[in-house]
This record gives sequence, structure tokens and C-alpha cells, in this order.
Amino acid sequence: MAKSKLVKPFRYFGYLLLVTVFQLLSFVQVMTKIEEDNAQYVAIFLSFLLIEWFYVFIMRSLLKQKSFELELIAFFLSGIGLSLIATVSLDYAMKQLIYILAGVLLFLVMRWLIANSDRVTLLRLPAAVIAAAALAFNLVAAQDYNGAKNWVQIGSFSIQPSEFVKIAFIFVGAATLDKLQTTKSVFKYLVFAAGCIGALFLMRDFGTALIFFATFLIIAYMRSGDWKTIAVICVAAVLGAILIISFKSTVAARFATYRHIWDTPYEEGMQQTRVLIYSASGGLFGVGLGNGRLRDVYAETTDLIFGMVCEEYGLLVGFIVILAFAAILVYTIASAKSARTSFYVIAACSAAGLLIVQTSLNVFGVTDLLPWTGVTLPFVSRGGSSMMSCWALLAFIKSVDPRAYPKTLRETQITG
Amino acid sequence: MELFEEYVRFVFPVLAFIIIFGCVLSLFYKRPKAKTVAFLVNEQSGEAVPLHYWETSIGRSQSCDIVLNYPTVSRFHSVVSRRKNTWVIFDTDSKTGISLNGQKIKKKEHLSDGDRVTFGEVTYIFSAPDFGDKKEKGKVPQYRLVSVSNGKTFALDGVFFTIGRAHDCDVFMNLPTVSRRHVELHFADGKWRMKNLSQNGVGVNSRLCMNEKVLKSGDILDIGGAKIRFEQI
Repeated sequence: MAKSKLVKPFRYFGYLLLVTVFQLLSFVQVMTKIEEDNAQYVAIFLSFLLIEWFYVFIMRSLLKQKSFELELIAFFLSGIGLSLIATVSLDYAMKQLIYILAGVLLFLVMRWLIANSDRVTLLRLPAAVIAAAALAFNLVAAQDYNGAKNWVQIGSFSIQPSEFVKIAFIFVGAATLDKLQTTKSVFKYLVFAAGCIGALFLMRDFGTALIFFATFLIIAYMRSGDWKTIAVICVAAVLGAILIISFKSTVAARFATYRHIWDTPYEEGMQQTRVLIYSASGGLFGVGLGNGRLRDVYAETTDLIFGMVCEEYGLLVGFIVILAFAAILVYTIASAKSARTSFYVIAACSAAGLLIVQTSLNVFGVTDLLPWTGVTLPFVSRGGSSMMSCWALLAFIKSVDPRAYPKTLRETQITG
Repeated sequence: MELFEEYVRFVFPVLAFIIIFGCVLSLFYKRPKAKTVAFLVNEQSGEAVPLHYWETSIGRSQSCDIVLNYPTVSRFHSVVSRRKNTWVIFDTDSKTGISLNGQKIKKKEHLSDGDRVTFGEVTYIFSAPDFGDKKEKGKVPQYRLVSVSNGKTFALDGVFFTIGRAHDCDVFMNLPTVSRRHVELHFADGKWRMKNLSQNGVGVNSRLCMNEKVLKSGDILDIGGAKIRFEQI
């Protein structure tokens, strides 16, 4: 008679094992290619596995969490990145491992912070102030790096404040339903967003500015539900972009090679032409880790890492990586209905939208389908700020999963 | 080692596909169902409106979760929001305001089980008897439904349930004689009520009921020919 509402828990252990097997196979293959200190590589790899297993163990045994799908996808992507980076440099791999650990810790902190909707409301203003201060500091203290002023050197580490501002950008933009009904205008948020995007233009970080703009559109639409306002903003933005490109030669130069990379295969179009050639030469199944030739091209583990994935792991794995991001977005939209408050719906949808926009700019940028803006591939590319912000964004997406609610809320909300 | 390298590249896409496909499948199909823990009962008509979400918008606009089509109700009148241990009602700048037990509220107010909430001139009773602090819980007597034919049971561990042939019903009955939404059960004022939603009605102790009826322990419901006993645990 009665349908059982008991939901079978996700067989996380089996999938964790599969992820580990994938990573072990990568590890063995990389091991044969490394000419440097093998012991250091073993330590890096085992530490990564330890982080992965320890996270699942702690969350399962102490917090009784049953769902690990999103984290497993993130660990899977991070593992692919780490393996490819290790074939290039062990120092880079070591740093990347630290960044992954920092990212996981930030993910946990973010989950705790946003678990309480009252705390979220209190933190929105401080988050906006901190974001504005970080961008102002960036403008003053940043050094010029590859034409963009978005890196700040602190000791031996360089950080990209705009990556962390992404978190605040979503945090400030999302709001609970009662706030949305009483404050129907998005003017205040428009001013905040314009400030952030304007600062990014001054830094000449156009890729990140584009990501922020796309995220702003998602948030503005979800807050107002008004297509007309969004259309007006888009038209204004396109006109503004045309003006900037027309009058600022440095900006125009960035887009000059778009659709013309084969005109200058040894100059401006060198990296993208190499990505296309080597990705194709990798075929469906790749040439094997450490056997690729893209590793000799500048920015191989940052902007071009998708090319490395396609060349060394194969086009099929490259396609699955893109599929993973698309699946996260679709899942987030499908789960929005069961989210606790509008804050979580807006935050999760914009975080997932941000990740997919960033992935598209990276993948289609290096393959010359879109202008190349030099953004990283989430979870895979080398870079601390990017890795940490991606994990923090994942916390927003995780917040719409009813199985990941704090234990006290789970008891009253969920059957099964 | 060369042999390993030659073959392992075929394993990577297979493993990657299984991992991503498995995780995605689980994300979509292993989501738990939320149960309704509160609802609003129209004081005049007795109609129960379940609060399915943590935040529910109430107003005259069709985009609200609960549409109150009365001239004294604003388009976006109110939001009822669930917090960790309580429910909160917000007046979202409505013209006629909200009264809670006869007192106008300013901006927001906590809601308790049995509170009378008036939106403009429409009054609803807020019902969330099994929600809140642990000491407050247990007000709802534990009842269950038992199939007379096969003994299968379904615990009524919330305050609002739907029975029918539709897959999203709380109690799913795959019989051609059962309507997609046949019966609604809800707990209010210390009593469980059954509301018929079908064309054919519901038999309660062999008497056909076409509207609403208070249930007692031991009552036998006839839903499209299937007999179900309502009993206290």
C-alpha cells in the first residue's frame, strides 16, 4: 500500500574507491615519468588521498553526512589537475596540494557560515565591505602580470583577491524571500556589482570581469524576475564594452587574435594553435600522462590545462570533465525547489552559473571558439586563489542539498 | 610498464564516466522527500493549505506560493518563514497589514501552533503541532495507516499527507480505481481529519463520504476498493 519514503543512501564508499583507483592509476603512470625525487611525489600523492578519505570519514562518522557526490566530483577534478601538474613540476604539485587542503577547509568554513540563515543576513554587509576593501587594496598594491594587475605578492605566495571577491559577490547578491519582497529594486546590488566589475576593468582582468557580469545577470534575474531590466543592463553593458574596446588599445589587442590564431601560429596564436594540435593528436584516449607536448608551452598547467587533459587523458576524459560542470548546474537548478530559503537558491544557482561560465570561457577560449580571456579551469588548473574560491563556491551549491543540512534541521525536515 | 601505459589509457575514460555518471544519477534520484510540518487552515471554510517550503510567499499575485484572491490582500502581502526551531511571519509592506491573534504586527513576529493570522480580512489558523523545541514535540498522537489486506503500514509522522495514484503522493496506491489525488489527511485542533478529493468519494466505516470527516482510531477507510485502517500506535 504505502510507498516507502526511505531513500537509499548514496553508495559513496564504492565511488570513493573508484575515484581512488582512477587516481592510483594516474599516480603509477606519472611515477614512471618523474625524473626528480620520487619520494616527494609519493608523499604528495598519499597526502592528497589522505585529505580525500579523511574528509569523507570525518563527515560521515561525526556529522552523519550521507551525500558526497559534489565533493567526489570536486576531488576527482582536483586529482586530474594534481596529476598533470606533478608531471610538469613537483614544486608546483606540492603547492597545489596545499591549495586543495586550504580549499577543503574553506569549503567547511563556508558550509558552517551559511548553515544559519540568520547569520547569513548579518554577514552580508561585512562581506560587501571586505570585498570592496580587497579590490581597492588590489588596485593599489597589485603588480602587473601578463598585462593584468590582479596579483598581490604576500611573502612567497601570490594571491588573486578577485577570486575571493567572487564568494562575497554571491554572498551579497543573494537574499531571503522577505527581503526580496520588500526590496524589489536591485539598485544597491547594481552599484556594488558595477564597483566590482569596474575595478576588474581597471586591473585589466577582463576574463574575471566577464564572469562577474554573467553572475550579476543571474543574481539580478533571480532577485527581480524581470527580463526587461536584465535586457536593459545587457544592452548598456554591450555598448560600454564596445566603447572600451574602441578607445582602449590594450583591450582591443586582447581580442585581436580571436578567430585569427592561424594567422600568427608562432606569435600571438601560439598557445591556442598548440592546444588544438596537441588535443587532436591525443585522440579519444590520450597519449598517456607525461607524454604530452603541450607541457612545453607557456601557461600549460593554468590557462591551457584543458588542452593537457585532452592530450594526455584523451578527448573522452576532457568531454567528461565538461559534462561534470554541466551536471552540477542542472542539479543545482533542479534542487532549487527544496532549498531552505531564497538565499540558498540564488547563491547556489549563481555559484553553479559562475563555474559553468568560467569553464566555458576557459575551454572555448583556448580552443578559439570564444575570445581568450585567460581564466582558469575550476578545480583543475594550478593556482591557490582559484582552487580555494572554487571549493567555497561549492559550499553554496551544497547548501541546496537537503541531506547536507545541519543535523538538527535534517531531523525535522527529512523523512528517511 | 609499457603494456600498463598502453592499456591504462582505455581505463581512464571508463572510470571517469562511471564516477561522474554515478554521482550525477545519485544527485538526481537519491534526494529525500520533505514532509509537510505546518499548514494554514482557513477559519471560515476549513480549507487546509500546506506550507511545503521553508519560505512561503502569500499574496494576491499569481506568482505567490499561496494565492489569496481577496481585495483586502496585497499582491505580495506576507512571507511565512521557517527557522531552526520556530516559524516567523513577515509583513512585506502590505497595505492592510497582518494581525496575529488580533494584534497588528509591525514587521515580523514568531508564529506558534494555533495562532490566528489575519491577512487583510481573511483569517487563517496556523497549525504546526509537531514542530519546534523537543519538549514541545509529541503533541501529535502517533497514528498510522494499516492495509487490511496485506498488513503494510505507513506511520503518520507529520501533520499533512496525501493519498493517491500520483507518484508524488505521500501514500502511493497504484490502483486504477484510485484517483491521482484521492484523499488528504491533516492534523489540526488535536484531531486528524480526512478530506475527500476524488469524484468517487471515500468509504469511512462503510459509509460514503464526499467531503471532510474527523477520524478516530480504528476507522476503516475504503479508498477505491482498498481497505485501510486508521489506528493509534
